[in-house]
Amino acid sequence: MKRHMPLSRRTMLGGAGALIALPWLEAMLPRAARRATAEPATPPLRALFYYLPCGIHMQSWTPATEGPGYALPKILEPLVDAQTMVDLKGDVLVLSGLANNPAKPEGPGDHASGTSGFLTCTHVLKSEIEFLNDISIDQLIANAIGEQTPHRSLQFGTASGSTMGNCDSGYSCAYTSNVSWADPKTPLPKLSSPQVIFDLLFSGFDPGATAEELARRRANRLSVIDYAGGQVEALQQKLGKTDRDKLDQYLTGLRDLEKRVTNEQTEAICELPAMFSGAFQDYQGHVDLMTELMVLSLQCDQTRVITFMLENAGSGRNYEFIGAPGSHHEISHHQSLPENYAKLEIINHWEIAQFAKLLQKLKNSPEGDGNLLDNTVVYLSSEIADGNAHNHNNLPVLLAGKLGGALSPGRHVKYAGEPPLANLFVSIANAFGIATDTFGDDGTGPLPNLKV
Amino acid sequence: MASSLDLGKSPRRPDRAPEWALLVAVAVGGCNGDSAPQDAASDTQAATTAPGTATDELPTTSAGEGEDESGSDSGEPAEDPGRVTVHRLNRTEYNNTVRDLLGTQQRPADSFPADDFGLGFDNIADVLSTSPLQAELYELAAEGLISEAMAVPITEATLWKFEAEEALASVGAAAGDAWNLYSNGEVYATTEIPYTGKYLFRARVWAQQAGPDLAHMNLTVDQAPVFMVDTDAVVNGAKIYEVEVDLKAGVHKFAVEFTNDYYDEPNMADRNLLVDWFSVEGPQDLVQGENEQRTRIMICDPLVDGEASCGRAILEAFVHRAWRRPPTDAEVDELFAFITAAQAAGQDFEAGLRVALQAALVSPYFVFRVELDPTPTDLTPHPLTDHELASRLSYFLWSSMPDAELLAAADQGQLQDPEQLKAQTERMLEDPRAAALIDNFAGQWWLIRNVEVAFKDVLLYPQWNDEMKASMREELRLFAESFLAGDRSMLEMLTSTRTFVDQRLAAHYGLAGDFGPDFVEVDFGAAPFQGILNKAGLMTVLSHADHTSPVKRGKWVLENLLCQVPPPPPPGVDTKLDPVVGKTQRETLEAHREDPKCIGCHVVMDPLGFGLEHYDPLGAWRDLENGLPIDPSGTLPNGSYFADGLAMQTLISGEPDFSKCVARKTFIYALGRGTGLADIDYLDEIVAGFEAGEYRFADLVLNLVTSDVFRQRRGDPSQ
Repeated sequence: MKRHMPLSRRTMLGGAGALIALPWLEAMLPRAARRATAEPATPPLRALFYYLPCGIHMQSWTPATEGPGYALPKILEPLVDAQTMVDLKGDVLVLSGLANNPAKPEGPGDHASGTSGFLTCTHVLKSEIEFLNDISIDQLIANAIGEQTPHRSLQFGTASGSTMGNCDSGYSCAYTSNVSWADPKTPLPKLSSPQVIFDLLFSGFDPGATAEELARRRANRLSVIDYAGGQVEALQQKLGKTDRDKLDQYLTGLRDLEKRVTNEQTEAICELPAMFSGAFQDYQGHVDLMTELMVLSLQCDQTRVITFMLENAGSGRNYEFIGAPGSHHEISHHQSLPENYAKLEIINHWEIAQFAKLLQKLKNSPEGDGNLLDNTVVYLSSEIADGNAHNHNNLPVLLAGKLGGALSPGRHVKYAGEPPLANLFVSIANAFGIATDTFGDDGTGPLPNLKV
Repeated sequence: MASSLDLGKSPRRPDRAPEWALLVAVAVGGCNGDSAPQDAASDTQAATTAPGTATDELPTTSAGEGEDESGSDSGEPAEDPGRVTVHRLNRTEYNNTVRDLLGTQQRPADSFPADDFGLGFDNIADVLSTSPLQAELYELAAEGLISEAMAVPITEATLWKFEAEEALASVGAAAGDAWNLYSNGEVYATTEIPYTGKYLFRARVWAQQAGPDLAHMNLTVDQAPVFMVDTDAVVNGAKIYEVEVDLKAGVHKFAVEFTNDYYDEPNMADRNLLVDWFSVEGPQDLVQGENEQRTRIMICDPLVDGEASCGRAILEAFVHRAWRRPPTDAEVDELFAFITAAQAAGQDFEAGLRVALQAALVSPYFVFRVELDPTPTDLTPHPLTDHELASRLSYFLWSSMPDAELLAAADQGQLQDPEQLKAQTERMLEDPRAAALIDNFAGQWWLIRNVEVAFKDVLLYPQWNDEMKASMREELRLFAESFLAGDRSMLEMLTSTRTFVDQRLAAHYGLAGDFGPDFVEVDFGAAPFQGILNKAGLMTVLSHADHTSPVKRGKWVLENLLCQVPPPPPPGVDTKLDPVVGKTQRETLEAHREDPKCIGCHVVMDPLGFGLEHYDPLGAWRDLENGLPIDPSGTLPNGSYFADGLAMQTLISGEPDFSKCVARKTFIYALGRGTGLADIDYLDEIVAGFEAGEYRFADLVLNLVTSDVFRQRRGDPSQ
């Protein structure tokens, strides 16, 4: 894709990947949002859902005590690092005792059923070729607020698609590689190439182009999109229902794109690198780029709803680069062996370190009177708790951010009676202004004790 | 037990339905302890898809229709060639299509979201969905493709020069006209390279030397080193280093990296690398004055032939190929309007033409394979148009668009004649593009694509590495090629003792002889390997990291060689049966037979895997399993006994179910839909022709493409 860029630009200070976000100002609201909101400007709320595969070594995760004064267990240690002056303990809620019972499969298949139910709290249809789930919490939120940003929501991951064959004991691969579901039959596939993501989000932003060039490009794009949309509609007239429905998916994409291009930002509300190289040498590099792009997407208000899968369900990734060689999935079937426990601890510790990097970048983004993390909820969990037992109760859950005041982080909260995970999502939905008492198969109302 | 089934010649006798229905009955009947598969053969009518029941039959119509297709008990079954849902090009097909349409080396679909797949393949029309972001990805891809295709040929190379003190860096500080890398790190720039080609990457550097070693410098492109040197350059003795690199069009990061920072404390000498500038220049290999892609599109010169007439001609020719059919005049008009609109807005013909070409690539007629019915809901079968047929044929055999010859045959209406259709098919099977069948058909049916991602315990199997994977894949590919491109009987897929090995695999299989890095054809002779089931790659994929999996292997045989699909385990069952020390896998898995909930299916599935227990998790032969003797004997689902894995394969190769299954897999892949009861008669005829042709793959293909089920379709009754 062509852009005309001057050769030497000093847009970044201090080295690779450090972006400066301008303070959030009302004047910088995207045009669509400016139209929508009439009240005095408060920073908008964002939601990010972060998925880890194969469960967590709970013995090194669950804090021994409750409340604000708990000691950080081994796996959660990356939340505090005196050397780099990172202290995220006060920004995170550790929630224990939640259960996602609808995610229990019939027979084996916990990875597929747990992953497909990860954000839907729904018991899915067990089939290799058909799927039936329900809307996920991120899409529920996107339906409510998505119109205010160029992208209603974004789905990222480090592993793109599924391998062939069935992916888990008779479950379709769609169940193991997606956590976002727009409706019962529509999983939203992930983007995993950093270069593609950057181009997709910021292809319209070209500070080197003249206003005339930008206008011309926009006009051309709109005429192409309009033409294609017209063709799809005309073609649908000649087709039966199954085909029409199939083409509707394409038409939806074209109409969304049309809106996006029409409302395109040409003034920056955040500073972008002049050129972005999505190349990475190894897995750590890939994860770092994805973290960067998630933060950039939120800072630049390209979207306010993101899901991220750090690998797909049942991931066999080899973590030898941090001293835990072997297939993650096979190790997580630890069979109570101490050497497997040790490796899981290393892997999970590394995963939380990546999470901490994301949180710290959000915290470093000034916004309004505070920072981006203050206005965000970041949910982290896995599709099961223990990787061997494959249990769906006593799940590992972290909730970071203040969500504009709806959350009081900095505590370990232990719930009795195994309240449904769906209730946590009810609370989050309520905070986004969605009036509901139910969610998924077993939501009954908001979850108490998230705010004090 | 159902005896070996008689493949009668009369295609329409209703009582033939049970044979094929056996193929679904296992799924429907379930595997309760007391109803083993043969009893379920009577449940033929219930073969519709129900929640929780895994069949491999994708409904050919929408749900609820299935019942009506089972003419098996209502007298004369209606001819119903079915329909294929509007078929989005998958990633492989998209990349191949733009390659053949434009001549590009770009592979835009590599960054598209992964294709959904079902029935074992990633080209099943009903299963392929279109993500909302796909539209934007298509649009951006079209922009990039046309930009490259229409680029006016350049006549001289471009120089991008970066002054290091103005560029970005991970460490260091400006030092006059240079950048001082005083610690390990890099100075870099990212820029867009507009043309694929060879480029010269240069850097002018010097070092402050210290200690015993010279300063080490890497030149890297996209994080990968392309040039490494211990530089002896010093202040006032700067050196220019240069390396030629191959770059694809796109954004790239160029860096000069310093890697061995050193401080000589006693002497207070500091080693540093200073970079004055670095540059990229190219393309070096300019083809003066020619962009082949542009020449292909610009079939006339607007200045000579007039813009209106030439513009229309260019668009008609381009769209004819891109949409795989001639456009109507109205469609050409609509595209030409982009040119007039551009000119009205003060741009030129060229600019408008480019937008029109992009639009053609975002059109649903490019991105989807469209087939029309006279009335969308009418179930009366009708022939496909020549162009629809040509697309079906080329995407089946080449995973790509029709070529000029096939398109011309379609234009002339020749493809309605079965003899012409056959002639084209034969031509296409011999074309190098038919290698797509190896990569995409065999690649998925035989799990060749899965070899790459198989995980093994490298402490147990230190020979498991990228080279081993590559060798295993190559053997499978060459083996596939010998059938798909050759004259062999497909039955030999299970019996052949001929295979292809390099040095690595020869050692792996224990073959005596002199082998080198190249692949040669060998005969196993007396060595205990034959057919696809003893291919190291397949055995590797169908195993765990450190032990074999008779269940995975048995299931694969059942599903992929006999086309029988066992349903998933019943609810509430704990299916983890980890290997037990002191017992063989077979003995451990006997637990399946003790539990009535498990026995129904496992009594069918497990023996097929036990037959292969002599092949370890990497497919090498083992006499014993952890010191314990192996019993590879068992029975096929129909009760026939085999003494070991070789006998098992030979036995299966003679089963009618096997040849039917080969035909069925080919059908599913070729059409991009599953099979239903309505397809039974067509499949019977195809298999009869396959058999008469001595099971050559080419004959199977010819019978398939000339069958009405491939050449006709009907409408969609769903509301």
